Amino acid sequence: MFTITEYLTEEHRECDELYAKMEELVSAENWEEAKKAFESFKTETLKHFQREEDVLFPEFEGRTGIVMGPTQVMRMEHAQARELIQRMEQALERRDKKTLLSTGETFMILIQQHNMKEEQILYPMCDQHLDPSEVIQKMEAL
Amino acid sequence: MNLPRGLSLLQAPPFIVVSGFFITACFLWFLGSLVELVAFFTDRLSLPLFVHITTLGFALFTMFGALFQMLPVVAGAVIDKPKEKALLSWILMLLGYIPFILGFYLKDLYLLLFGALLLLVAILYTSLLMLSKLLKIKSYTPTSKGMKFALFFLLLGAFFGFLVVLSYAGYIPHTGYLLRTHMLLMLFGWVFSLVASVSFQVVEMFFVTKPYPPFYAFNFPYLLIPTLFIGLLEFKISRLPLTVLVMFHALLTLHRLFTRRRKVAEKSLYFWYVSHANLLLAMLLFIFYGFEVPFLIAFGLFFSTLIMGMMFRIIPFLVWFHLSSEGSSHIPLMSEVIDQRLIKSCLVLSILLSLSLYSLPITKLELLPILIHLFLSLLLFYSILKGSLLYFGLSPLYNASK
Repeated sequence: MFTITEYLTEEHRECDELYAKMEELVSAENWEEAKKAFESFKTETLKHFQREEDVLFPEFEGRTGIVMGPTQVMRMEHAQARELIQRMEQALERRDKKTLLSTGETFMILIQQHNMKEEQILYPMCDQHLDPSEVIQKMEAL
Repeated sequence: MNLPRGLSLLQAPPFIVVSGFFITACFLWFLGSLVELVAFFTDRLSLPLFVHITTLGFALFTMFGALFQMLPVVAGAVIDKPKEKALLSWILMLLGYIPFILGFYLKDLYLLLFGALLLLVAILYTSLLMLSKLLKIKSYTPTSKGMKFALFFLLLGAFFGFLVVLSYAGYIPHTGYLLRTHMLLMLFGWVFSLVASVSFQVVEMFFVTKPYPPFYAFNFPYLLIPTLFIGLLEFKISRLPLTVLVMFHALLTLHRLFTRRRKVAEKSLYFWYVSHANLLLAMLLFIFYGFEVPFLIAFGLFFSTLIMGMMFRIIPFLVWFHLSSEGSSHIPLMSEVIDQRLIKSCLVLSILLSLSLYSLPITKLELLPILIHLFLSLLLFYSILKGSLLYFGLSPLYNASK
């Protein structure tokens, strides 16, 4: 039985691993493999965002009545992250190593501070106010 | 419900707050290197002058700038009207720093006393401002907890620093004891504990490493405090517990960096390596010699190298972040904010500075580290200024047409 914090923190770590693998392949200019690794990274990251935006945040907002609080901030950071992923994808298509790594660097700093806030503040609040097994089941159903 | 306010970078203070402190720190470090050069040729170079150019002019300004950024973003402690409060802190700091350094240079006790008093006021104002916000936090992370203790030690250390100056002027006795307490509180209670507390968050975040052991990270201040107290006592192995703690932290950090999940080596990583190698060496010197010149040099190299590495990461990210949030039509890549060749040059010069200082007993080339410091601080100042100006040139807030 997982808590929301444990479940989603594990997803963060998986996304980090996928990013690190992709970054290493780009650095070695192994473009074909990098493309596959990028797809996995992008799919898992966007799926994670979707789970939060479609299930976790509405559940939290519904239970606490707070709609312009931390969930709103998290959605805005997701939007910034999505934009950076798109820029990375364009750089990958052009095989532009410098742009991809530099955009990736920005993405990583943005997403790491975002993840830490979720893990240290938002998820524990969700565990406190929601039923973790029910929420996790709904997220997995997506 | 009590919600944490500083949940994201959206709570970050305006860019000018952080960049203002960083640019000033780099400029003062460069100016300080010129003072060192003049002092060398006029036979006025003294250890306190040399030390405070880096600890006050460079480190304290940078750390205050970084704390204005980190308090809301990392600790969730939002400072209202950050621009106004940061400006007041900056003015007070400058007003104290100038007479203080001149006091050491001219060996003028009254100027020194005046500068020390103003600096004490500046540190009191800034630390109490930040502490008042940190003390209101309901749930602490290892980083926010560590920051709270570090600021408390800064206050205490500054007070002892002022007492040292009073004792120089002959108003009170026990200069040696006061000086040792001042150095212990400032170097370990303030600088090291702030660096360690920030490491708990940024090492994992910047390099995607394993987190520090939670028990260690959460209890770090409680491990540090007794070692500081023991360090104040004068018996044969009184420095040992502190040395063990600091070396343990340095090795833990290096281990995390070596086993990081991101294998691509970004340039700031090398600043961390050089910095922590210097810290290990500093602690070896500390256990044998205490607060003697070799330790002070190695410890200074530890934090100044680390600060440079952090600046080269923070400024480009903040330029990107603020331009992105403001909807600027042109947002540079992080690697475009500061020329990568400049960062590389600063890294090489940092290593050369370390080598030139460590080899002093053999080479006796005292002018060489001063010259390297001059070039290094000039390059750093240029890099940080140029990176910051890029933001001001592109920001819609400062350019109505963009």
